[in-house]
Amino acid sequence: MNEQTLSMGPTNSCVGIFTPAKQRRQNNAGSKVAVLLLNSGLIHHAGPGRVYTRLARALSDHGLSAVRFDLSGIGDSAARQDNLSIYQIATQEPIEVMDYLQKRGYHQFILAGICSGAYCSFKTAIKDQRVIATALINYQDDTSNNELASQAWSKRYWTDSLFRLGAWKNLLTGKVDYQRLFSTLGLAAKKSTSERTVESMEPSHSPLQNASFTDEMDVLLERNCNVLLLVSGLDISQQFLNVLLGEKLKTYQKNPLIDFKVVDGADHLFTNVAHQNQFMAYFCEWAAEVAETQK
Amino acid sequence: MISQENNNLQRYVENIQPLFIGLNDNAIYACHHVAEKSTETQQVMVICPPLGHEYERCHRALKQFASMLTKVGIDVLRFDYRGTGDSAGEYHQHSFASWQQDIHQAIDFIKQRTGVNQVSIMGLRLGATLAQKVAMQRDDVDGICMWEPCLDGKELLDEWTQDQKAHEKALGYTATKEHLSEVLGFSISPELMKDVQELSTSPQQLIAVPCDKKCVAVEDLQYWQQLLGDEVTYISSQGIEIWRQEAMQARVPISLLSSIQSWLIGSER
Repeated sequence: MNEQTLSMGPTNSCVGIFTPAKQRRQNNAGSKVAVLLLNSGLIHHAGPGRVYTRLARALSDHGLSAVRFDLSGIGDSAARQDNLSIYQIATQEPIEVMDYLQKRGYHQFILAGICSGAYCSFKTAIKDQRVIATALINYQDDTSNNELASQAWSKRYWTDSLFRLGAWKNLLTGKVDYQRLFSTLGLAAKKSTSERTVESMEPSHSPLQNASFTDEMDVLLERNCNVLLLVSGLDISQQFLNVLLGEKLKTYQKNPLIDFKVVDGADHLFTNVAHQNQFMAYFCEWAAEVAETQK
Repeated sequence: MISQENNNLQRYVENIQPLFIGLNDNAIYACHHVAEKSTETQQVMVICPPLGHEYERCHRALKQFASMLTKVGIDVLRFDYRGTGDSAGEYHQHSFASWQQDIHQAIDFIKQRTGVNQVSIMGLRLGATLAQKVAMQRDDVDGICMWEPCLDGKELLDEWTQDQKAHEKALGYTATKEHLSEVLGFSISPELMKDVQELSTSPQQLIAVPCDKKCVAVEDLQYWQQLLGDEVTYISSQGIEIWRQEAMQARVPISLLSSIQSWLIGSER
């Protein structure tokens, strides 16, 4: 193991770990690329189930350098003393880390994160041209967006119920509240006929003014930024993505810059060791392919 | 102009120094929280975290605790055992013996770094059990705080098995029947399994540590008080099981941590 601790940012209070690539890739491809792993919620930079530590070391074996770090106030990083909001920190600090790494000879970056880490990765990628790829792992967009969340959960509920034998058994044996079921069905039908828009009650935190998820995705694709959309088979993020991508899903599925992956049977934070290994294998393969195309 | 602003900011930002102790396969990741103000006698505390999924859940509270101590002039070293956090190795490659070595190494390191001769240690769950074993082997530990130490290995294994089975049930499958191979994302090696199975310590054995200041933070205060009398300081941890809550839900138990801080600086209420 040849890792180094980092103290970054204007006050050196942003703590991270740098894992250098073990070996150079063929033709030096990707030698200027570093992978940044962003906090999953409040979990410190080792990641849920220590998966970021293991992933950084696996990437090193694949010839890629990686940095896992903590945003201010999370994990080992001290809290900021200014008045930046969490939404500002979410993009500013990854940019500060990239500035730090650029001084060490890294000019291109792959940003990745699970859950809120995916959100930070995506928003930072839109802001900063140095990001050549971003992996959105169990992305759920802005969790304060209640309308989006209810649409995603509703999709999940219907999908689950339709394909679950137990649900049908309950329906046919009278073990359900029919009145409630019919009123819910009526509500759903009424909703499907009205205008379907996803609007947040919160002010937009997008770097682009009033842009939707697909508008932002298009900005990345226009500048040839690769995107990995990786979801856990049992997580609600699949439905979130379906709602967010809407009609554009089919177009994106044909776009060579976007990769879709599902880790079957996994939960939101890849709790099982087998799921962690599957997730790491997918990620390393994708990141290595992205790096291969960089000179 | 910018550097002046940075200097101003620097004064208010906590001084946390991340570092590695040792090299390569034995590297231990640690954070030295440097005391904010100096006191007449420099005090140092080493925090021994719990293991596996419990560590992830308690990380935030232990970091906040370290920050609290620096404000009253105490230097703190937090560290990751090998195979955990950012330290070298895989979880399944290590067991009690190597983790006790890590505690020894952490104590030696911070003593050398700060120049102190004596340290206090605080452990949580299995971290407390291991810290006690280490304290028994040294004469430079002047205070020990054991927060809900694990005394009975079989009980702990039952708890792990239940947690893992509940998790598998939630995911809709059953893998764990009799032999536990992983607990919430952390592989259990046969060596670790053996160590845990053999773990059996009584509260009396636990407080036989050769140091002046002893403190236990436990749920069942009455039971402990009846057994041990006035030999130790007691802090109630009733209802505070942060290792059982997901990291996103875990609250930092400020009141309990303040009590440990008061015990440490000798101003118990």
